[in-house]
Amino acid sequence: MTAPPPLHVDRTPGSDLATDVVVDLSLEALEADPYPTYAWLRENAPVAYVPASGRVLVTTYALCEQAGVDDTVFEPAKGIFNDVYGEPNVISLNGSAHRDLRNAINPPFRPRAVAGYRETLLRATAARYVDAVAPLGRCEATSALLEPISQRAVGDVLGFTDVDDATLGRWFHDYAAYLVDFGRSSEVAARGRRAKADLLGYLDGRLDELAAAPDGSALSHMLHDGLPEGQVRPVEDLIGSIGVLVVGGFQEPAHGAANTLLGVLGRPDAAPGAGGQADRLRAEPAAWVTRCVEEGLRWLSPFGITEKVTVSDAVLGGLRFPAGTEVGLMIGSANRDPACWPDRPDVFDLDRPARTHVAFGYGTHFCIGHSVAKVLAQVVLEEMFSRLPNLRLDPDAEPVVHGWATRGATTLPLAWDA
Amino acid sequence: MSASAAGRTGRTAVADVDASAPVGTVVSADLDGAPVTVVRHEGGWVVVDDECTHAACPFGADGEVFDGHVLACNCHGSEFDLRTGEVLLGPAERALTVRPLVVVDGRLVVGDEGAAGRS
Repeated sequence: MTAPPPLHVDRTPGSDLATDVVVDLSLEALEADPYPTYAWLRENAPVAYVPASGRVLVTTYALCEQAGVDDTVFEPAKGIFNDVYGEPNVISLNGSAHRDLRNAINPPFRPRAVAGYRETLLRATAARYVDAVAPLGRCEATSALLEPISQRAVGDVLGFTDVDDATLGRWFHDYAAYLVDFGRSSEVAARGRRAKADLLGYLDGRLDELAAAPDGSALSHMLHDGLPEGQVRPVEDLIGSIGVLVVGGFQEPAHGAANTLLGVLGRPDAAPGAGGQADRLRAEPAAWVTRCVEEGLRWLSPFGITEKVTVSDAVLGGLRFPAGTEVGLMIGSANRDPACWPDRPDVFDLDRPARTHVAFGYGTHFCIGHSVAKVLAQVVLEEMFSRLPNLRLDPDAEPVVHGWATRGATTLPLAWDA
Repeated sequence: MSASAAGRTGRTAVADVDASAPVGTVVSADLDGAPVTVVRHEGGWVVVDDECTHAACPFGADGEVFDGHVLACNCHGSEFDLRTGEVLLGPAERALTVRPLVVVDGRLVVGDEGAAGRS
């Protein structure tokens, strides 16, 4: 791990406002590798305003949890999600409006439901894509396997069964880029808005079909559930939440799997036959994938931040947050806090004592896709280790890990015996 | 859930729950002034925590019974065995508090107190 650029805290004397504790960080430096900076922040300024992010960032496990479970004071941020997804959307709603919409989206995402399609939709999708690359002996796994599998499987759960892979990929990438751009590029914003317009155009026809003939998809439930017979929610009420599901739903499973693979295959003992942790996956994938995915989500959390805003005055870490303070709870940092994982938290290790990570957030807004993300990542890893003998990092190419608000192995060159 | 009823004479009744409601009933109720959830599973009536042990979602709004004896919280899908309170499916990690209820004179009362019934 490289050292962070020189860091210092500027504190306004006599002030106890969180926004008067300033650490000037560049988003580009964070996107290259945030972890050394997180370690510095946890030690020196676990609550600090970072101007480039527009937010007070919270970096320790304890303080993130304290704010995260206090979700009637630290509510989900509204501005950023309303800008990117539009209003209403299931992240920036609260109270009974949130519950009603969330309950309408939930049915296909509950762990019970996901268990019901693990062996059918999820495994079949994973197997199909893995079989297609198996003769090649090598591939860039994120773009060739993990994102297509995730988009297809979650896309089908959502109800986009008639949308092709390329279109799903475009919606995902353009929305996701907009979400993490933090206003730096008007072109990125324009592309994000175009993705939303395309999605709206598609939904116009699709939702009419589902209004007449409900199926088990998330779109169908969102249209109908909780309303009197024959009544449906208008598309304007749903488009925001569908955007949320496109980004979260396509990204987390793909990057959860990619980050986990990088973790287990990137260990020094990972070569096939070396007897290291990766060999356990090669020998008995089904026995190890659950533990492996949990450690992967902790070690390299696909969402690094959960964005909040205070809706009343708050105090955290001895600093004041007046109502309206924009906050970032850095779950990527919390997941490497040595206060919780004292033994080399920056190392991927299947043998560390299991302790629940916070990659899916806190409270009422805890990720709706937590089960499908985990289960899909598990099934994908099982299929890859089962069908791709001696799966390993490609020795002739370098993985690339990028991002801060979301972070993933965006380039993951793998090789196997074909 | 209030424990103050234990030790007093008479049994504590759960307010405002229809004891003839069917298996699968999940309702918010009041027990000795504290909010609780009352559930009828295939083995009988129980009183459990007001809120799921995962993220404090209220069972009265989000709870549903499956498989005869499983209480699911529809917020994030945690499931609990209504006979023991144990977690069957995460993300919850802490078991539910479960106390049996019995029907006395048409009312649901806490079933594990030693005193005689109220007049």
